[in-house]
Amino acid sequence: MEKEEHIIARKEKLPSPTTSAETLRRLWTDILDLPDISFDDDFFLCGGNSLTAIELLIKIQREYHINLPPDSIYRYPTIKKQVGMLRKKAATAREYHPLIFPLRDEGTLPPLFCIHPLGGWMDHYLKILTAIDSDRPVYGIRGRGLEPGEVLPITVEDTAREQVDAIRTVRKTGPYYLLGFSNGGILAFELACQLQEQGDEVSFLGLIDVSAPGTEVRYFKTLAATLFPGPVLGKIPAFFEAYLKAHPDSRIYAFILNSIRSVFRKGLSRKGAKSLPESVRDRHAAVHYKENALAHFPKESHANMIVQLNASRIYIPHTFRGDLVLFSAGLDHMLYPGDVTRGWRSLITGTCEVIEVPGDHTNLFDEPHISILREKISAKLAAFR
Amino acid sequence: MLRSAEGLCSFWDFLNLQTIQNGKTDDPEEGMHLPIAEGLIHVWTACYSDLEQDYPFPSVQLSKEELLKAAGYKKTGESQRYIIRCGLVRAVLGSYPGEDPDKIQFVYGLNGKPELDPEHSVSDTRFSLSSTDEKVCLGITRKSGIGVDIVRPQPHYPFSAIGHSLFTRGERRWIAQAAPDRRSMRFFRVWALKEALLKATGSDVRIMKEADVSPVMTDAFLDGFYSVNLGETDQRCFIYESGCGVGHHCALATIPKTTSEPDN
Repeated sequence: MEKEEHIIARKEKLPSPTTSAETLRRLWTDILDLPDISFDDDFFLCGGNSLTAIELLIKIQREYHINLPPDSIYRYPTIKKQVGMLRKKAATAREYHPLIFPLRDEGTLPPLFCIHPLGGWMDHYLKILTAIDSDRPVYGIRGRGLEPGEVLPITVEDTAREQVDAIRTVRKTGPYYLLGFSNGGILAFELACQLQEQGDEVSFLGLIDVSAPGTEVRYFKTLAATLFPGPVLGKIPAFFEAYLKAHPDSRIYAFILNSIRSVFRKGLSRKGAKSLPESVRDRHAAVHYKENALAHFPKESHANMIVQLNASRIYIPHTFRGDLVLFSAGLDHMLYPGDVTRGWRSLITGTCEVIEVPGDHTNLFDEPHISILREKISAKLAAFR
Repeated sequence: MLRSAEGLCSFWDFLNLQTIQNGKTDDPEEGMHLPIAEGLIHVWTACYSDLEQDYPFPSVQLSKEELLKAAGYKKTGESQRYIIRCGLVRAVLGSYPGEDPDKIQFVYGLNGKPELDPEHSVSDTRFSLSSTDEKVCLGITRKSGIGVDIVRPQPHYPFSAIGHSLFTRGERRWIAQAAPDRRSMRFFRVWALKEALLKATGSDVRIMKEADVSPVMTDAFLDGFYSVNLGETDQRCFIYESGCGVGHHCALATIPKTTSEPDN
């Protein structure tokens, strides 16, 4: 078993003792239904029992995004002692890179890095934390733009480059374990490619319900429409496209994709990624996305999400030399009809294992689907002990 | 003295005793429960409402520590129930050979579990106490580690977070396999059994996370010897579950003493 080695960069942020005491009193009141609680009252003398002690523990963990031993309430039964426990936790907490959010910072197995989906936060990963071996540390990689004054990188490559730096402050060298949900999957993929390019091993690359970036497919459509205009000729690329998508393993498909990638990568490097033409940024699609999918998110996060979305839309993926695990909630009928690997098989040299999970992209992390997702992730990661 | 419909009576009249051996439950014959034979388990249950008339154990003195702790309870009735629990434990344990109710001294293990102080007790009696706000349950045996947990299952208890925090995947699956209206009951059965095992082992609450009772769970209440994974190893345990009155569920576990443990 490999021992973890940590490098420290920045203090973990926990609230001040006063704030903690008041917050804890609120949590106690919620559970015990007792209005007059002093900081020296014993939880169990206030009517607490073993079940409510665990309820309180879970509430504290959620409030401060920390992991505490199950016997914490027994060892620290008063608010005053619990404040001390939180202060001690903060004092001994490792200091992290600004992008690293420790979901669980204890354990001897190599850590799992979970890359943020659109928006930049890691709420989804908190929901699957219990499925991951308690001896494996878990770190979220948050997105830029959540703190005032932060500027978001506008390409996936730049985003991943910064995330590689962040990851290396926790773990200097591989093997690395990466997990990404939705847009975080695309970032995890690029992160894995960059780590490999730098000579590191990526032992686990898990993606949750995300298709391979459809950049090539969109370019292919644009190219085909240009080369075969009109109602009659226009049917040729559609036929050709359907054939290729139904046979993602075919050499013709790989040749065409690689050619398109090559042409456009050269084109992008000539123009510079930051000055891509408006058509490539696909403003129309972004507006559409903003009006629909983004409606579920707070308005203040929309601007960041659109930048992240556009970065993924112009991303030309490299090839990952290894295996990939895709936890998939269904096919991508729009971009990769008939391909259970949702386009990933052509981007890796190893095998693409597809693990079906119930639900869809919007409810995958909700009950009852989340239980199955947890089980599948837990079972898969157990093989990497 | 307590007063029943028939007139004055002793608190013993309000205690229910079950004697359990090797998974078979019998109503004890008069006078048969004392002394307790090795391999037997006595389960004493009572309703607080039957005992909450002044102090029902006139011949039993509580210790200063117990009285001090009783004064510290903040909720109405909690203090009185604590005094009753302490008196009950002293009175019942004192009825077993080798224990004087007033001289019984306790030591407190992990999570505050009381045990007879071996320095002041000549017997090898083991006990475990559990209560809700209505009922109290006291399990007594000899030599084996014993754990009792009584719960009052709530039909729509939001158990998901606790389940994911402390239950194994197998236990969560067993709960999820039930019809939605039965899941809460399954949660409380698993919870009570894990609590009873925790108490029987004398371990801290971490064992709740490590013990996996899912392989032994069935729709029928458990009653017999089972092999349960308690973290690193399988352990042969005696488990007994019962309804324990309307709206309650009780789990009891004993773990036989290994030969390496010295006798008291």
